[in-house]
Amino acid sequence: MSEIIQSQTSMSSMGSVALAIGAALAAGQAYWPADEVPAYVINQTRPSYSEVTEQIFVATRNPNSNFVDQMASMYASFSQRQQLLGEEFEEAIFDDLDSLYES
Amino acid sequence: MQNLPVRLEREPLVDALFEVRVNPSSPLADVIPGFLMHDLGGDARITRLPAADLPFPVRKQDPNLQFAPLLRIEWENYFISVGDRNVVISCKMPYPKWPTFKAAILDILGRIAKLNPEGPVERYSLKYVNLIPATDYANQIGKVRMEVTLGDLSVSEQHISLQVHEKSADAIHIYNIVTGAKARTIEGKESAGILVDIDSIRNFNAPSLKELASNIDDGLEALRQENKAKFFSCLTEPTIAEMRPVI
Repeated sequence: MSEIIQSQTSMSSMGSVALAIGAALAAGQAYWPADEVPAYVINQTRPSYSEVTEQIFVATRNPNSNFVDQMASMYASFSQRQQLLGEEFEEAIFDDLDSLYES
Repeated sequence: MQNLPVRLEREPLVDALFEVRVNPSSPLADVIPGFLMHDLGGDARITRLPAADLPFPVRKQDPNLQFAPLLRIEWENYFISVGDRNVVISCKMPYPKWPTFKAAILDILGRIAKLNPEGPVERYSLKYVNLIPATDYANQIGKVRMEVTLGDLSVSEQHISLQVHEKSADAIHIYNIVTGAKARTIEGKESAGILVDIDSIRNFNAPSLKELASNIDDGLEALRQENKAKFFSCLTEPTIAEMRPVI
């Protein structure tokens, strides 16, 4: 498949989103995407999805990787950093599985 | 209508695709890829795409992700990408020319129609992305018939990224013009120039993909001819001549 790349200064709005996500995670409020009222709305027809043109605009925002890749790697990172609870907790849970989901 | 070339000896095309968007009762990527893999036979290969790792509620809520394909099937000279609400059929390069591509679109739609996923069709579209080689911004802008003036600035040698939406009787054409683009072809060759991308979209209210598949032929042909005419109307005569058109 053809690939188009274009290097350009990152858009400041993308940086703001990244900062907002980072701040939310740091504060323990892992809500994403934030339910925000946008500053403005553009009413227009959305173009067809083309991986080639998507890469252009993605490269425009951030020359190193695209938005979907970034979000996917964030979730992958979360799942990779999952840790076992340890013997003590596991024993406590598995000893009493029947009542675990009781309300 | 002007006499449009049948083909170009120097093809500037980097992507050609057909997309259909629906409002399904369950995500298309959950049902279509498995069925197609079975129906297309042993030559098809499937690839999981990055958006598939994002949770469905996140994809559903973000307009940027609603139409991001989750799985891509590589079959003969085509890619069939399936998202939650859309199916994209695109060509491997070199472009196999419209009659062959159209036949593939109708074939694949016909296969999907056998499954007949529930949900009304919202629109279908054809998008052709071209990269016309040229060295600097001035040369790139000179390739297209475009005059942009902004205040005191007459844009002639600046970077430009322009999107224009034109409504016609039964379609919307989105013109995308971007300078300073670089393309890496499947053979690994790099070229730089101006991107000219025409996305022709037809809103089409059909109760199902099956209904669309049985009624799309004439509309698809008309949409392609409109798209092609728009593309050539964007180019200067010397630019068309450089592509060595065959009438």
